[in-house]
Order: sequence, then structure tokens, then C-alpha cells
Amino acid sequence: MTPVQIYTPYAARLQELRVETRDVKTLRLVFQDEKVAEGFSFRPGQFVELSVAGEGEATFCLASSPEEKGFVECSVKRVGLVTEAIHRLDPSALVGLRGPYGNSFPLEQMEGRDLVFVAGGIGLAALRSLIKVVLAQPQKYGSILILYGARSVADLVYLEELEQWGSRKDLKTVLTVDPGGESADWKGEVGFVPAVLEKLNPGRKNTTVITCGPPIMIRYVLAALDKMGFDPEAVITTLEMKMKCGLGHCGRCNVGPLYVCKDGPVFTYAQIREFVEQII
Amino acid sequence: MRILERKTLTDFLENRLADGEIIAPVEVEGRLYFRQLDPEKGLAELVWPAADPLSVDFTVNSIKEFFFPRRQELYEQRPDGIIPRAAPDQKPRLVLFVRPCDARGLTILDRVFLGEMEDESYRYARQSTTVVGLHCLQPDRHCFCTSLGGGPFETEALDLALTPLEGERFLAQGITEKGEAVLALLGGKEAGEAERKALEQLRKSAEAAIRRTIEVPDPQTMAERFDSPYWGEVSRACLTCGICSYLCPTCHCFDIVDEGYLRVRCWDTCSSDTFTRMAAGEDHRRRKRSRYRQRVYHKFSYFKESFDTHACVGCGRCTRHCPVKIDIVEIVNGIATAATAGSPATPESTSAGAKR
Repeated sequence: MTPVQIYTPYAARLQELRVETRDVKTLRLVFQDEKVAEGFSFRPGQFVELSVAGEGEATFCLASSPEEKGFVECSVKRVGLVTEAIHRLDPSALVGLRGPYGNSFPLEQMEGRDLVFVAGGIGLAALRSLIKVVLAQPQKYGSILILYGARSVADLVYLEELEQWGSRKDLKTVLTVDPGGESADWKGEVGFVPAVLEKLNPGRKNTTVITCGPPIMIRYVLAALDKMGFDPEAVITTLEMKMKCGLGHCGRCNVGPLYVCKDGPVFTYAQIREFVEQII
Repeated sequence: MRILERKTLTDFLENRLADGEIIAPVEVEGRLYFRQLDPEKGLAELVWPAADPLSVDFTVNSIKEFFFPRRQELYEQRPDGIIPRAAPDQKPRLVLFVRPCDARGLTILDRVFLGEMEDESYRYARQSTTVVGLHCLQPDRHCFCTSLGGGPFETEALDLALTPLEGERFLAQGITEKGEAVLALLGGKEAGEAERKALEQLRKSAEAAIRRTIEVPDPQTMAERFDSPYWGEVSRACLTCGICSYLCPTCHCFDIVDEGYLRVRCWDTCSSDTFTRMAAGEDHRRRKRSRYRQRVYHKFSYFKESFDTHACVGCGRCTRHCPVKIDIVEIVNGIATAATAGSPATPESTSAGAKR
């Protein structure tokens, strides 16, 4: 049998392993081969397969902006074997990276529209790339609202960016933590993301909502958006599903007629409405 | 169409074995399996099909594993670098006595592996292989190929088709250029009207011997029965052993795992309870019934929607070899009359450790 080149990853060197929270770290990776580094491009919303020698491979979204050249970033929550191994990586360790895979956020269709980003926990990683691209040219869009929630203050990721976004005049950033997760000096909201979203009650007209978070949050956010009368075509989410190949071959992320890896991971609510009970 | 003596075929195969590989039915502990013939043993292990329909037996495995291996080493990933696996010298191969259902399975795998994201090793295996078919003289009680667009004398994905005749002879039909080239080497004498008539007769009696019919409901009916309690009832006996997937000529789901520093692709099955379970414990198919339902819907609904064919060739292996006698035909045929209501009130996707 001839080798299956489509599965052979690029070698990437760990440049930085930033601690975000007690169980989330952000990897900054630099491709070892300069040609690969120059040629690698992606669109916000796409994902990669990251691998650690002897430990395995797992799926992560690209959390950096495609406009940031010379490196890519992924944020990894420690939940299983591969993510555990990633958290334990030595500085300047070598990992495997293949991709980018999947579709991406429909940036062109978002131009001229008000944007509402709704993220929960590590789900912000899946939106960060898009948010960075949007915030680089905010004049292309209408108003921008970022609603981000986590279980507790200690679970908020990308603190530096949250602060930057919060200080900008051209967007509104609302942070919330689950009840009981607030600290003494917490100045943000206290409440679950869907409830805070309803309270904020963003305008529906000419608005695109982009959401990602734990399945339970996505489900209630979609229900809240339904209740508020948002057009399911203008509600976009990105799904997480167990994957192995990323190419539409291995069958693992198949749900309904869709493969999350090749038909997604970005879907409109209209596209997944009939399967939503099955997957989130 | 030509008439070949077995001796002609034997000489050809012996020659072929000297500089190529032959995959053919071999008897192992009383059952037939497709295996690569050992050149040392020549054709000694090969089991010839007989013209006597009653002696015809089915191979336990399909030819899938010779194109999409059970286990395939992808590359080595060491802490200091990634080492692609060197391509071994692939000799030209010949797969012998492939039934039309198994050959048709290849056309379904082609849709998956030769699509937009092409699997090079699969393509290479397909290109370097000559598929010599065997018309199916006597289908058994589990066969249902004719209700899925196939047939015991179909030639899809075959290069050359053979029909066993009385007196250790074969009728040989070139299907592709590759097959015609083999036929030119084989020689033999041109078949006459009598043989053509005999072939037609054999075809008719083989088709008539297929008693089972699978009736796949229309998409609307399929969609309406998705939440039916039916799936719980029909999957209750399932051991989730996965033999149906492994023996299926069209099941193509796989896993990618690490064996030390080697990254390996190996067959997997959607019936496994780890198939969709994510690291943090979320799993949208935690229940056996939803996994069994996935198998049926993937084959008879989703695949059809994506590739305009069902992912089933009617070979009957999943039923023939199921340890608890789960019968795919019975299950699919029962969908239309299954209850639509009574879906579980609560969605089953919850965190780890919840009820199973």
C-alpha cells in the first residue's frame, strides 16, 4: 500500500504555551518548514488536527487571525488524553499539525450587518479568529456586540483581549459569569449566557448572530434567539464533534446527511435546525 | 465472450503469481476467505468455484480489506520529527472470483475515497488491481442484491467476468480494457450461440433464486420514523460487536490511533460506544438504539442523499454472520409500519456518567 499522504501532518514547533485558566492553555505554533509557513493560509472558522508523538491526534479550531503571519494559535482545554499531553508539552516541543479543514464563517455576507457574538467558556476560541478579523476593519460592519460568559471569573479566557475589546468605543463587550462564579470585585453580569442575551435584547433587523460554546449553552442560545424572533438564516454556529480524519471519510462526525468536518463546522441555525436535538 | 478451460486459467494464474499478487478465495477451517495467495504454495490453496450451484459457497470477508486495509500504518511521529512511511513496491494485483455484490461495494467505497479529498493509497490499490469477477450461480437465502440495483450477473467494477460451466470450463467476458487485455492473453475459443443461451439461462435462474427484497422507505417516511421507539426494539439484541460493519463491503468508518510512535488507521464501527464520545464525555449517540439507527440511516438515507446510492449491496453478510440474528432486511422493511410517536422525551446528549 502506498502511504496515505493526506494524513501526514506538518511539523510545528511550540513557540509559546500560554496559561489561560486552570484548564485552558493557548499554543502558539510555528511551522518548521519555511515553505509551509509561507504557504499555510486559512479562513476564520476552519480547524486543524493537532498531534503529539505517542499520544494521538485531536481536532482544534484555529484561534488566531489569518492576518497574523508567522504563527498559528489554538486554545486547548484539558479534558482527555491528547489535551492532557498538550498541556504537558515542553517549551519548544514539536507537534504535528494538518489542515486547515472545513468551511469558514461567511465574512462577505456579514459585511454591512450588525454583528452579535455570543460565546461561552472555551467556545470563544472558535470565534476569536473571526472577531480579530472583524475588529481589524470594523468600519465594514454595523454595530458589534460581544457577549462572553464563563462558569466563573477564573474560567474567562483571553483576559488581555477581553480588556482591549472592553476599552474600545466601536464595540460593546458584555462579560458574564454563571451565578456563584462571581468574585468580590466582579463588575460584569452574573447570569447564564442565554438569559443575559435576552436581557440585552439586541435588534433583529440586519443582524447576524454568531455563537459557540458548550452544547447546553448553544441549545439555549438558539432557543432564546428563536424566541426573540431572529431569522435562523442569520444565526451562525460552529459545531464540535468527535472527528478523526477531517476529510469526510471516517464517518465519525456524520449527523443527518451532513459531515461536520466537510459540510461544517460552521452552520446556520436553519441548516441544522432539524438535527439540533440530536447533536447539542 | 470466450470459453476457457480451467487449465488455461491455471497456467495464466501461475504465471501471474510469479510476478504479481493474487487474492482469491481460500479455505480456512472449513470456510472461504479472500486471502493473498502464497507464491510458495502456488495455486494449491485456491478454491475453484464449481459449476454445481449447490457447492457454491460465499467468502466470509469481502474484498474491501485489499483496498481499504483493516490496519494501515500512516506515518511515524517522533518527538523530534515526522517520518512519512515509504511506499512499498506495489506489484500488480489480481483479485479472483469476486462476486458482483462485492465488486459493487468498490463503487460505493470509490464515492467516499475518490471524492474531492482523495485517498491516494486507495486510488493506487484500485488502479493496480484487476478485478476478475465470478457470476453468482446460486445466491443464498440471505442475498438481496437485486432489490438494490445489483444482480448476480452484474458486471459493475469488474474487469473480467467468469461464469463456471460444466466440465471445468468457464465462460469469460471482458468488461474493461484491462479485462480485455487479460482475455487476449488467455485466448480460449469464441463462445457460440449455445453458450450465450446457457449464460442467459443461468442468469435467469440465479436472479429467480434471490427471494429476499429490501424495501427502503422514501425519505419522508425515513425522517418521520427517526424518533420511533422501533429503534429501541430492533436493536435490543445487538451486542454492538461490529461484525456487521467489518464484514460489510461498503462500511468505511475508521479510527486513527497511536501505537507507540506509529500513527495507524484501523477499521471502526458506529456501533461502538466510543465512536462519537468526546474527550470531555459528551456523546450524542450514547444509546445503543441511536447507534444502530445511525447505521441504518447512514446506509439507507444519508448516503443516498449525498451519493445517490444506498450504502448497501445486498450481499447479506451482516445477517449471515450476526451472532444474534439481527436481520437488516427485516428491520428496513419494518420501518414504514413502525410507530412515529413515542420518541424519548428528553434528548440523550448529556454529560458523562449519565444514564445509558
